[in-house]
Amino acid sequence: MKNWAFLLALMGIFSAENVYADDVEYGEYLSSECVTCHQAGATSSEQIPSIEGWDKASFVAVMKSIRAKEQESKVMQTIAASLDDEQIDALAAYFATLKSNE
Amino acid sequence: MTKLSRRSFTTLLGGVTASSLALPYVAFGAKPKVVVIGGGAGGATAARYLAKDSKGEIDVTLVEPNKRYYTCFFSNLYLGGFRDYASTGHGYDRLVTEHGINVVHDWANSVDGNAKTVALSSGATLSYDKLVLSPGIDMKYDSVPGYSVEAQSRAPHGWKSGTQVQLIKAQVEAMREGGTFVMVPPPNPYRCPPGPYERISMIAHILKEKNPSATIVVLDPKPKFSKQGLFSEGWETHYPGMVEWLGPDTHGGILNVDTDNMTVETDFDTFEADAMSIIPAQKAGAIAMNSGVTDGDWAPIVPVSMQSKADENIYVLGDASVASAMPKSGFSANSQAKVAANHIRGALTGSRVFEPRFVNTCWSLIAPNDGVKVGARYKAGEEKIESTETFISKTGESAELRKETYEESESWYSAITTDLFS
Repeated sequence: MKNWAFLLALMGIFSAENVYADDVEYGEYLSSECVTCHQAGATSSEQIPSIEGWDKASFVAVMKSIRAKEQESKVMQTIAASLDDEQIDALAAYFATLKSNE
Repeated sequence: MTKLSRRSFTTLLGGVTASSLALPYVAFGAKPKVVVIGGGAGGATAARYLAKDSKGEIDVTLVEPNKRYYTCFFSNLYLGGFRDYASTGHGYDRLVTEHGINVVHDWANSVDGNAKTVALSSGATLSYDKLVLSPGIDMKYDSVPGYSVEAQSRAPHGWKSGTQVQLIKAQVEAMREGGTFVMVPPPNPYRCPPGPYERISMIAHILKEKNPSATIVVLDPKPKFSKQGLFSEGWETHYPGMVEWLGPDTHGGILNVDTDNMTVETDFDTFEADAMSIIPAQKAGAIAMNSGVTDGDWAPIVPVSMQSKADENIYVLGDASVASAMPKSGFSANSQAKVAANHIRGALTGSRVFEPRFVNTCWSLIAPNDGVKVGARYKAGEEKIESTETFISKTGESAELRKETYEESESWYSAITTDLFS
């Protein structure tokens, strides 16, 4: 039983509650949705900003403001509406690990 | 064992079973194998994310007959003269060099789901642990009376990008002064719901500049279509008197297409065309039809994972799948591919499997700097993928907003093709 538990842990099956703070791996999964429009490794375009390398606090603040429909973008409002605080934190943590392109 | 939360995939217990099956790969150092068939929006994304995220733990082979992939999305912008053809083409080099994907330019002929093998045209056989089918669409030529493979050079469908779209452009530009372009759009469900109407817009744009007395007749088998209010308004504004759209209540049904005499006969009238585009009904690409995963014309899937309902080792992505509320679009396929890649990786290497997330946006260009969009978020229901929030551009929007929407689509094209091929 011990070995079984060890193997599972080794394989990452225990995505336990205590790894939630700054869950960069989860953020990376969630980010795969972002990069369909926010081009990876590119500078901001006219209408779509680069979001790599943003500091965590700014990222969280912007996403929450979009979720509160304080910003215009319909696409982003739809995306943000589906993200809870934990998910926004995870995304912020992941994007903060990347190098800014600006 | 472990507490589950929405952050971990709700059927994680299923994942544990799959992972325990995967143990031999881990224990004996043999790499699990994934074969991806089709190098478009679904397949290229699945292959790239599997290879990138597994960091070499999974052996990924991508089977795609074409050495260069010309995206169907934005092929209309080439048609309208907003892009050159070359800019819609993409190569697979970086999938090989950056991600170690084995790219095989060949046709997949058949799948043996029991032996878990794929037979290729060259005679080679590939074995897999998990198979991803993303073959796109095939045409049901006989869905339009009189239409056929042979007729497609005179009346191109242009629904798989490539030379067919080049042909439409050439034929529109060669129309006699004051001539008529006739289009027959496809019945539902089909690839890219707003696509036929964006194509009409782009053809109208060409004609407005080069042949302003020409007209366009659309003989639609459907009583209504995607973004109808937006397109109708746009045609009225930019191309007044040029575009005539007739639904089945008016034309009464397409009786025959004659590409020798260039006529389309309907119950209501016979229309003479100087150029035409016939887009027939569609079905899943041949390899899906040959793999035992289809029910009728399309392949039903399990919403949480994109696994075939017929074979848990096969995942079906994009146009070929029954993704219910999600339209058949490149954006949808890209989104579904990420769900499948995460699930496959979990099953084969024990990596974390997260809850699926599905999203789509379809942009269309009506005239220069007049872009519109429709989009939605989706969730995996028990039986179907269901839409949650949706949005659509509104009629009467400012020119400034429409220009921003068009610019947004340009940025999206650059981003998604990077997500597929870089």
